[in-house]
Amino acid sequence: MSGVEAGEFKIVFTGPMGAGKTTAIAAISEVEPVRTEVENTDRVAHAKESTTVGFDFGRITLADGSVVRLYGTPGQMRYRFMWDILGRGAAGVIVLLDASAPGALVQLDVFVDAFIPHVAHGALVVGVGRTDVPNAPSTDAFAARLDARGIVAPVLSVDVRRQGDVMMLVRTLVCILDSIAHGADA
Amino acid sequence: MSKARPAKLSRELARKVLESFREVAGAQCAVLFSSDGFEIASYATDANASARFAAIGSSLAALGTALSTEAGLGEFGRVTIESEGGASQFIKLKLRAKPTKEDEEWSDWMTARERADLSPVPEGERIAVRYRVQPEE
Repeated sequence: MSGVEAGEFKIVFTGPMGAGKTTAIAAISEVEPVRTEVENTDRVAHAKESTTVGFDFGRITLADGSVVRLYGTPGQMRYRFMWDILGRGAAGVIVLLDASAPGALVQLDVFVDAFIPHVAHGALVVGVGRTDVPNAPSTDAFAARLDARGIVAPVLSVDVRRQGDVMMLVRTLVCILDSIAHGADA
Repeated sequence: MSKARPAKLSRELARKVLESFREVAGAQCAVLFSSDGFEIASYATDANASARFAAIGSSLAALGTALSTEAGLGEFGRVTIESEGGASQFIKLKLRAKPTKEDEEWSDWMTARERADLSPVPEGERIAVRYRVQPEE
């Protein structure tokens, strides 16, 4: 995996509006994140006060000195054009989902389909929040959804407000990237 | 539609204003959109394009704001994209999604110094516009 070998690479946080992409990047970035949030005028679609319309940007340095550039996408379908722009050159993708949101399993399909073509060898991790809400699908349901489509990717329960949870997603993705790189070397 | 969205009447008024771009040589599209990328009103030779321009324009405006802030350049005003076949301009109107009494006052005059193709407008031919919010009766 050339990005890992070069010591600097890019990962993309994506997922629907309200999944916590901006919060996740802010939770771990070692620099003040670049945000492009504006007021959300469509409170019927989502109660959030603000929404990302460009991208979020942050950066972290891993223990081995690798620098990871973190990009967060807008979540709404009308910003689909930004997904392709941000997906280009990504080493891996973290899909964030709110299990309590209507159609969360369908949203998984939408974002996996949009980003899988951008990442070599399907380097993908799924982070699911609010699985404790009654009637919300479990992480197993999301994993089964991926499995049914022949996609192998870790599905982790997360609270994106917790730095440790978000770092767990990043480290899991980095492990996948390392194994891909070593597989390629073999 | 949320309460914060512009009312039908004001959309119609905005559409009529934007229709005047039909008279501007070379202008293919004029869209009024919210900062979160919703088309409010438009004039476009390709009707399907205006909603996409609204979304793209809001991203560019947000990136312009982020860049201006990052560089300490003050408040974002406009983005100009120059391309082989023409130019696009995205101009920020200082209107809140939820207007207050303050927004019923006229804005400052904005004088057009460039045409749609970015060629300069001679001083004697320059037009100026201003805007304000008018509540529905």
